[in-house]
Amino acid sequence: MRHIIISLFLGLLLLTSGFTSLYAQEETDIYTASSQSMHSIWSAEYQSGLSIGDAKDFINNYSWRGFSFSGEAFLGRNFTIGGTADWSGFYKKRPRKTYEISPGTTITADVSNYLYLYPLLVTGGYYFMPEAPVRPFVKLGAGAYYIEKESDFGYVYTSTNDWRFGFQPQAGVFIPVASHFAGIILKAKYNIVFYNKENINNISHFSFNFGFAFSY
Amino acid sequence: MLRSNFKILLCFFSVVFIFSSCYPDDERTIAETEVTITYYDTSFNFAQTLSKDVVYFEVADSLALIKGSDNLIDKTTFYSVGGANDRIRGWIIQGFERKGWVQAGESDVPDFSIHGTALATKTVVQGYFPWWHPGFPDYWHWWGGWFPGYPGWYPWYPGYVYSYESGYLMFEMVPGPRRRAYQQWHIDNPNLTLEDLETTAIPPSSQLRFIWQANITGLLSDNNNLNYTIAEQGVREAFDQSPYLNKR
Repeated sequence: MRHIIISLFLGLLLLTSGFTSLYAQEETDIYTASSQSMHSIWSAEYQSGLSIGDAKDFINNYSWRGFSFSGEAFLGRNFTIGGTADWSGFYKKRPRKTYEISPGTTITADVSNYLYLYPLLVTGGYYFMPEAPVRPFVKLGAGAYYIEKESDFGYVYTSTNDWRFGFQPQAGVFIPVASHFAGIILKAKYNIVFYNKENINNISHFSFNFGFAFSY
Repeated sequence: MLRSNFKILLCFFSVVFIFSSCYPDDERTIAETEVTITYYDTSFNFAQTLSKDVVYFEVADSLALIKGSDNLIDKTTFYSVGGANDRIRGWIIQGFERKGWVQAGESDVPDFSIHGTALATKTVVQGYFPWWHPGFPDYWHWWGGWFPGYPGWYPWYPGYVYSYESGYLMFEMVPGPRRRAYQQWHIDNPNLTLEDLETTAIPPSSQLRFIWQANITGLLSDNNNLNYTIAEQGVREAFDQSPYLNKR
């Protein structure tokens, strides 16, 4: 499955690269006046997360595990199109407890819950001030989320793997440092995945990212 | 410039990836791998029998010991006086006595019959439990054996198991009259082979009806005393999970 995800991600990046090349030529005529104009932005980010709603009922621990990799090409001065591939890992260990899992069936165990999300999204963005020292932006991602959900009861476990559709609105800033082309990026993202399984309607969580980005 | 930036990006991404891949704090002790699951037949009227003045139960003299291919349990040691069989059986008897039941003597007619099974294995087991299938090798019969005509796997058992060296205890309870009818049917049909039994329909009134089952399973430690402690805790939890077995 991970091979599929990697393949899809690489395809997404190639798509983004194609856009970059295509629009770079057009942008040359429009933005040659400014050496700071951006044709594309690539970023690698550390990602933490906070589950909310139904997902919080399953795991209410803050996630310190995650990363994000994204690329986007400018369509004109402010608008971008691109892709994002994320990974978020949520984990919660619960103390030993007794659960009635169905009428007549009871289990006592130490329970560990795991939730892993792998979104592969197409994004559209808008940079409000693409030449400013601090460049705020908003983006909306939409696409497929691969979801691994597992509950360990002692050494017995149940797990499910699913693909679901979801959205990822996000806002952040790109701050060029050292050169106009490299800098740090800060983001806050909201994910909503339409799960509709096992008493979980939506898997929602906030992500908070910081990372390194460069544009050219 | 571009190449330099891309290297930095890759380095950062690598650091992020390595940091993110750190396994969470989910190391578990041997005790934390232990799971206790009980099931009872919700259609069985426990209250009717448990309202009697005295509720008698019987526990089979010997647990069925199922040897995995790794021979983790020595049969002789297991059945020796004061060995695992005696200790585990003792926990079960104490559990029912704490519920207010009385162990049946020679002249008593048991209301409930309990049978235990023990297993230790290194085998990876997924999705089903082959040792519950009729004809599984290396088990020892008990009062004629419950295994021929066994109802098969238990659909209520959640998930599946991946194991290293794991131990497993199972206790099953049937109403006393059903146990006696089942035994009588075997006495009346003495010449049936195991193969015959797989294709012969046992009359419904003589079939075993499992009304309670306890499963205790977990990883095994090299420390046998720890294994006993964890198993005993599991048996205690099984009874704690079953307030419907309390004498009324």
